[in-house]
Amino acid sequence: MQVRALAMSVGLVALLGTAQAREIPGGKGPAASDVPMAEHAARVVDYTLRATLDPALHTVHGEGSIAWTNVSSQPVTQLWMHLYLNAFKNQSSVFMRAPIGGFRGSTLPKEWGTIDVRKLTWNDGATQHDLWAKVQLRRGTDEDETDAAIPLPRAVAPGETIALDVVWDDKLPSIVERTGFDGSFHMIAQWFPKLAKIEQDGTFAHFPFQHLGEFYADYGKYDVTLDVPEAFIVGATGVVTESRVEAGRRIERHVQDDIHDFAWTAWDEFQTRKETIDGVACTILYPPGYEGHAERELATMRFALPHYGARYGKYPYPLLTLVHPPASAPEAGGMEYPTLITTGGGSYIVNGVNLIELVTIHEFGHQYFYGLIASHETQWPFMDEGLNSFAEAEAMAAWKGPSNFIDLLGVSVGDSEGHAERARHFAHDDRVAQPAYAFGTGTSYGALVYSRTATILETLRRVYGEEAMQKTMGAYARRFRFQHPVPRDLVETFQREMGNEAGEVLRDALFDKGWIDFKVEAISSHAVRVAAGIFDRDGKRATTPPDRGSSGKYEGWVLVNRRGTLHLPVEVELISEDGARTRVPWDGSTDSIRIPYAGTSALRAAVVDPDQRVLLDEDPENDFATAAGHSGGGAPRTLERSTYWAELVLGAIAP
Amino acid sequence: MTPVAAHRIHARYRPTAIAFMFFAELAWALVVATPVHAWARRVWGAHPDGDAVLWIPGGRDLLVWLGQNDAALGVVTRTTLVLLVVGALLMQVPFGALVASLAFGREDALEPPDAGAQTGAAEPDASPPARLRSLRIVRALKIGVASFLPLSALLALGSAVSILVLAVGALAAAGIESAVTDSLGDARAFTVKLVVLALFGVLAAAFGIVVDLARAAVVREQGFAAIERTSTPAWGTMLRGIRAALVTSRRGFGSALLAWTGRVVVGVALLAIGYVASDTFGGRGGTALTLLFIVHQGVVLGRVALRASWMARALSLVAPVQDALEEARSAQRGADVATSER
Ligand SMILES: [Zn+2]
Repeated sequence: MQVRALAMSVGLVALLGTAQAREIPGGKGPAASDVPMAEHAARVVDYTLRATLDPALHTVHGEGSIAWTNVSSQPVTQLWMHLYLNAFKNQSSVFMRAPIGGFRGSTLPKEWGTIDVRKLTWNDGATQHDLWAKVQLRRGTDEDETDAAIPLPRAVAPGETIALDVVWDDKLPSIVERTGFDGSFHMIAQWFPKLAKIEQDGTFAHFPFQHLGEFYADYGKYDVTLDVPEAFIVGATGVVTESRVEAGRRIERHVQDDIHDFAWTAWDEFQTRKETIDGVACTILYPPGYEGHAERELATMRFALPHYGARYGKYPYPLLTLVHPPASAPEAGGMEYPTLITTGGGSYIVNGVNLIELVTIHEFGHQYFYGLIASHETQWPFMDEGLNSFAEAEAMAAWKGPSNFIDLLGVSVGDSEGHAERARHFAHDDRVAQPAYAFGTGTSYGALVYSRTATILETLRRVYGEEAMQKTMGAYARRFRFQHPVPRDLVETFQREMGNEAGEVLRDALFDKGWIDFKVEAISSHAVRVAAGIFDRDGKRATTPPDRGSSGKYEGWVLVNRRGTLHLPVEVELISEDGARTRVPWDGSTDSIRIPYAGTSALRAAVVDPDQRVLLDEDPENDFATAAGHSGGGAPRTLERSTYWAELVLGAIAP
Repeated sequence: MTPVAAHRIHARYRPTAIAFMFFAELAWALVVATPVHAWARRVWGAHPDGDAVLWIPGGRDLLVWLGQNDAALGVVTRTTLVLLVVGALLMQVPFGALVASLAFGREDALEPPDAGAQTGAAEPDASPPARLRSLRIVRALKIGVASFLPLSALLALGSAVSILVLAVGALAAAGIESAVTDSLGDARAFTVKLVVLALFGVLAAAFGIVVDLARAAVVREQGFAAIERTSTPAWGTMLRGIRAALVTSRRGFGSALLAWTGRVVVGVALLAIGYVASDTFGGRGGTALTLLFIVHQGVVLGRVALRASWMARALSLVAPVQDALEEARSAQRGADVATSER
């Protein structure tokens, strides 16, 4: 947390005071909406840039100035600058040589991409230092050129602001991952020389462009003037403050505070739809013929903007631009930048499969879990992609009900359930909380970072309740707005708001491959017989012969095991022969529990977690048992369905 | 046993044959459903609510069941596909029996000849014959068995050509789509692709109609062979069937297409009813499941009846052509015999 940030934000000072005053574990503290949030981010780095696009050559010429403040506690003698387009320069870049499949961006570019800095100077009073002369573009024999070290002629003191001038040229790659061109469509991201984020201790969080893993930067003000041919339609981060056409060129100036990146797109075929939703000017840019997609994306925003505002604090920017890339450039889709997101989906999408809605909600969610809560995406990818996947599934369920992902041909699938299934197979492979580059494959990265995090949080929501979850995530999102939180901040928020047990489950599941599998191990019951023999009762002696007269009562037990390392409370349902169902809660603190049964008929079956709250459960196929000699429900629905389908297929192939 | 006059061939006269076809299909569908049912029962049958959990909203257990990394999914899928192919072949026999029942009847008329004949119309030749009694099922099945080889050959040929047409169509559609994407944009290019695909779909359907006419001719020829107590080789029967079908198509393809299309539209409407029923009853059990079963079987029965109705129409179209061709063939044979005797 930056010193200057505290000084600059009154709201934040108030926030700290509140945070210390509230130590009610899992308590009935104020609702999340009462948690104050910072109105503005610390202003660390301001970019004033001008960019000129040549759409025929796919080049951008850029120039401008950068005002950077040393917000750390240490003097700084060297800057780090990210030149991420060089990831597409050759096959020796860290990005290109990563042996990673199973995620996005695994093809070679048809055209390479580069960024060449022509000039970088520091206007230090009367002197102008040529910083680029001393640049170290590579380290040792490594040919990657995405992470440049820039030694400074003198130290920059804590709190001191320096002014840099920069001139550079981009050659955009054909789209491999997120950025580049496809025909005359240009998606221009990671395109300017960008200073790495400085941490409190004076170190820079700098890293090459990784194949897996995303970005991390300081907040500031972006004032960017874009210059494209007149026929092109532009979408970009930030509010348009000037727009004019001059000598066949369209010139747009975009200005935005409190953001940490800037991306833009230009295409001469964009169609446009605009609508103000919840006070936010939404613009959809989409290919010709995609009116249906645009409408579905707008409908999604009509739900998502107020929903996320209530859950995680009001969206603070006056605009949001959604870019639906052309079908030939799907890799430009599904990405987030401040106030601009890219969606996706091919020409035809079935009604009953809410893919467009899901992608749109996911990318919009990143305005929070990336944009406003700017954690280190490469170091802790679960903190943006994971939390955001939970928020996406939560929002989809709140909007569309339990069949929120697929509702087709009698098959119903929820987003949360999809995440749970995807994550289930990877639970023991890797930690969730680790850097993006530590994952062995793109598939395990996707399954653990996105889906397992979502499943952990959805489990906590279902087990500890909607209200507790809203309060906890709401407090986290508000308290750490503009604050670059780390995992400890998240775990501590859960401990404080949801209680120590929930916090422990979260920590264990994220950091120590924590897992859980409830299992109904055995069940048994028998009729209670009247005891036989000679009895002296009330001064009289009576003999009761054996095997005569049942008491009409049954007793027995259910043995439930908790396998794994996580402790979660759960319910066990006992089902009697006569149909009576009883729920018995179990706190899940021990390895197993033997639940006694007493009823007027035999115990027929038992189900652990009948409401499917513990989505983390590793093997739902052992969550039930039926007593010997009793039958379960069988599979008549499957028989009916498959018979019907078989008849239809037979009728179709045999005339 | 005697042929039914072309214009008196109607599916509604043969409810028993339709029911028989339906039950044959239902019986084999139960066999096809066995692997997946056994699998579901093995994993979820012991649940007190049974497989209801697979079909509840959210679908967690459905995903768990299908997503389990064991061999069952592969084995069940493969077995089911094999059973479907075997079933497609086996169903040729009841199908042949159904067509035979449509095309032939017993000599004793169920109804007197049409009113025109009774009143002694001016043209006695035009008097329509009587409605005939249905064949006994065993008799019809015998013709079905006799038709098995040529019908199976037609099935193989028809499937191969359909797949070929659709494959060429898919290639052509993809090619045209990529050719026009730059000029039209991908959304409109996709529409163009759909149109091209649809055209090839119509082509495949048209070919299917010809194959159905050939099926009608094949079974009818086997019926005549049964009457004359002769037997004809499958290959020759199939070729003559195709010839009759082609001649019929050349003369009146429009009416065949119209008849076929009308029934397809009704068939699709029935499917929609089935879909709505699935959607309405969802994963419920008990009475709801029974109702769903009844609705679904109603849909299937309706579709079998539509197929019977279409084959009846195919028979009435192909019968005169086939008879004329047969007459010419026997005349030719007679001439040949006369020549050789001379
Ligand atoms: Zn994401």
